[in-house]
Amino acid sequence: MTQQLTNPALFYGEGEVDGGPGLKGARCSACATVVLQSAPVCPRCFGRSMQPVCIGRRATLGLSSRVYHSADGFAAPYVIAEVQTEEGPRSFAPILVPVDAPLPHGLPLRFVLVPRPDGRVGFAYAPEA
Amino acid sequence: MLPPVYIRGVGFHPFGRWPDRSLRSLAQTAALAALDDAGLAPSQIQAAFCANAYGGLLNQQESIRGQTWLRGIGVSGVAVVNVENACASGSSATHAAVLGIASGQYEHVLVVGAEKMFVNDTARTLAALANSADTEVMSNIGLQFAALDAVRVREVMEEEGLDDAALEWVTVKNHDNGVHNPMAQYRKAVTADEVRASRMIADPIRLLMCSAISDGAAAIVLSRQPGRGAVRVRASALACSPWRLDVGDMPGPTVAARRAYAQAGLGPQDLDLAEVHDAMAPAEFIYYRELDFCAKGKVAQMVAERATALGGRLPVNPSGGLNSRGHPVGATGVAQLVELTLQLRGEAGARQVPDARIALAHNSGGWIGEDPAVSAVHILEAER
Repeated sequence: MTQQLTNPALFYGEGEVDGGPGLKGARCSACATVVLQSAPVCPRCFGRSMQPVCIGRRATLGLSSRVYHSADGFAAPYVIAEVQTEEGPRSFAPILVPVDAPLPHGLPLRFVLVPRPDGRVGFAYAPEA
Repeated sequence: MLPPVYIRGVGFHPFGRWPDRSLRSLAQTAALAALDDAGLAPSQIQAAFCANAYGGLLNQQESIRGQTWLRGIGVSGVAVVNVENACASGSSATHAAVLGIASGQYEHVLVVGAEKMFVNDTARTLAALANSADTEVMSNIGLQFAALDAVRVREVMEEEGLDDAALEWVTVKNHDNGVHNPMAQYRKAVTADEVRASRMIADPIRLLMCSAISDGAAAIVLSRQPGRGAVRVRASALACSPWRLDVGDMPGPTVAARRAYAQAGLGPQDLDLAEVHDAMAPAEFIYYRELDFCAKGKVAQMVAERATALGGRLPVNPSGGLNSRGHPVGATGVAQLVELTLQLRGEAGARQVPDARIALAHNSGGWIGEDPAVSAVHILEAER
C-alpha cells in the first residue's frame, strides 16, 4: 500500500529516493548551492539547472520551544525546533524528545518517519543514538 | 522621494468580540468614520483598496469583499481592489493606495482593513491563521505561530541577554498603553505577576503575551492635499521574505525598513515613536534590532532604560500594539497608521507622545523561509 505523506513537497518517504527518507532539496549544477524543496532557479547564481537531492538525513538542533497548546494534530506538550541540515538549509521540525529533556544547541539529530494518528506518515527529528 | 501623499482622514470600529456585527458592517463603520474625518463625501473617492485575510475561510465571502463593504456606503463605480497579504494585508493595501496617489492617477483613495475572526470555533480560526505560513513546509509539523515566535524570541533572548522579566515588562508596557486606546480590545492593565502566572503557550511565550483573535476594522483616506494635522506619508516600503544564503544577509523587516528610511531621507534616529508588529509582545525586541532602533547587542540596554515606554526616547506601540489593541488581521496594518496619525495630530489623548513629528509603522505577515512572508514599513511626518 502506498504511504500517504503529510508533506509530500517537503520530504521523501520510505523507498522514494536513494539514501532516503529525508527532506527534499535542490542543488544547483552550476554553483552547488543547496536549498530546501524543489526550485527551478538557483537563488544565488540564478542558474536553471537545479537537481533534486535528498537532504537533512542528519541535522543539528537549533533554537527550540516546548509547546503547551495542542494544534495541528499535535497533542501538547511537544517540542518544535529549528534544525540545521548537514547540507546547509534550515527548517522547522518536531523533535522526538521528552518535553523536559535538555535541548542543547548543536545536538546531533537524525531524520525519522513518524506515523500520524490520521494514518498518514509525517516526519520528525530524533537525537542520534 | 515620494510625491506628496497625505493621510487626510482616519476611522475605526473598536476591536473586540462583536457577535452581532458582520464583516461588512465592521468595515463600513470604519470607512464612514474615515470619510467623515477627512471631510469627504463617498462620491469624492476615486479608488479603494480593501484588506482582509480570512473572509473566505471564516466568513464565506471570497473575491469581492471590498465591493460588498463599499456598495452600501455610496462608494460606487470606482476602482476597488481587494488585497490579501496575511497579517500585512492592511499595510499592503496602503502601499498600493499610496502609489495610486503618488502616480498622479487619483486624488482621494480609501483604504479599509477589516477582519471578523470570532466564528464560534476557535480551532477553525487558528487553522485559518496557520494557512498564512508556507503550508507545504509548515503544515502538519505542529508549528503554530505562537511556537514560531517563541523560537524567534528565544534567539533574541540568547543573543541580547534578555530574561523572562524583560518579556513580562514589555507585555505590561503594551497593556498599560492599551488602557487609553478606545480602539483596543483589552483596555486593562496587567501586572508582571499576572503575566508570569498566565498559562504557558509555547515556552517562553505566555498567554498574556499573545495578541488575541479579534473582530474589527480600520480605515484611512489618502489624499494629494493635506488634511488636519498635515500628516504626510514619507515612505511606503514592502519586502517579501529574502533568501538568506550567507551569514549576515538582511532579514525581511530590515530590508523594508532600510528601503523606507532611504525613501524618506530619514533614519531611525529621527523617529519620535513607532508601532511595530508584536503579535506576541516580546517580538518587539526582535524588531528593535531589525528596524535599526538599536544596534545588535543593545536591546537589553533599551529595556533597562525603558526607552520604548511612553516617556522614553522612542515609545513603541503607544496604541497597546497587537498584544493589547487586538489583531483582526486585515485591519492591523491600517490600525497602526490610524494610531500614528492621531499621535502626529496631537489627538491621542492620555497615550499622546509629546511633540511627535515623525513616526514609523511596521507590519509583518505570514512566514516563508527564514522571515515573515511580508514586511511593510511606513514612515509618516507631520508637516508643521
